Amino acid sequence: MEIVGNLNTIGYGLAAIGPGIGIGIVAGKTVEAMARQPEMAGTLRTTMFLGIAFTELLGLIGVALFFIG
Amino acid sequence: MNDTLAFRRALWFGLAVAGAVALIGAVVGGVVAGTDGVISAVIGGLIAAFFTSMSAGTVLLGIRLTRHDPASPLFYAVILGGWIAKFAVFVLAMVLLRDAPFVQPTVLLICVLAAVVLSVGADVVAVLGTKETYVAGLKQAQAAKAAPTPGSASTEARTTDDGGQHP
Repeated sequence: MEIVGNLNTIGYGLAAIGPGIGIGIVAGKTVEAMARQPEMAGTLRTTMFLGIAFTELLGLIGVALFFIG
Repeated sequence: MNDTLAFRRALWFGLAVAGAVALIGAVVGGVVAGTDGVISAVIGGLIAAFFTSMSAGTVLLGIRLTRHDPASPLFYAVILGGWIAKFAVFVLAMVLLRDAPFVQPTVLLICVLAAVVLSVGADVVAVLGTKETYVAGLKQAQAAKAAPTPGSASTEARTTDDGGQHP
């Protein structure tokens, strides 16, 4: 059986798994923490921003390599 | 309000880093690949600047739209919606630029990756360099003290400590 297609697509699919799980954990845990301690919302939101920045960086590298690499 | 300061700083630091990478990339790209290298470096810097500004910008927009209410679902709708929109724009840009005759793929890839990695570093510097205050906690404690209600005791306890272990 002949398999055709672009290997980069499989690569990006694999690269998206980690950031996808990661951003879900970041947002979910922040909501959980805000529910426990609403007065910490400002600090939690700032820390969440850092988590999102790092997580999406991995996704971006996957997309960039998918197209250009 | 103070909680927007970190995001505003992250926004400006990220844009500055993207601009610096575009500038340095344009010089190096010009030496290595001529005019195509310069154009690719500038495009890479612009893509990175868009990415960086969307990260901090959507948080700022979410805070403004929800009027500093962290419990509002709109806040997460704006942030996660912005995240999807950002990737849609990035994919569109890559599709359009992939086969463009004036693009040097290696210079573009290196500039995008360098700018985005460094802008995340700039985010860390911006956030760690900003002092966060417990303004919301003080307000809640003052409100609880001014008008005690059956639920206010637990609210007051939470502002001081360890996650609601008090009776």
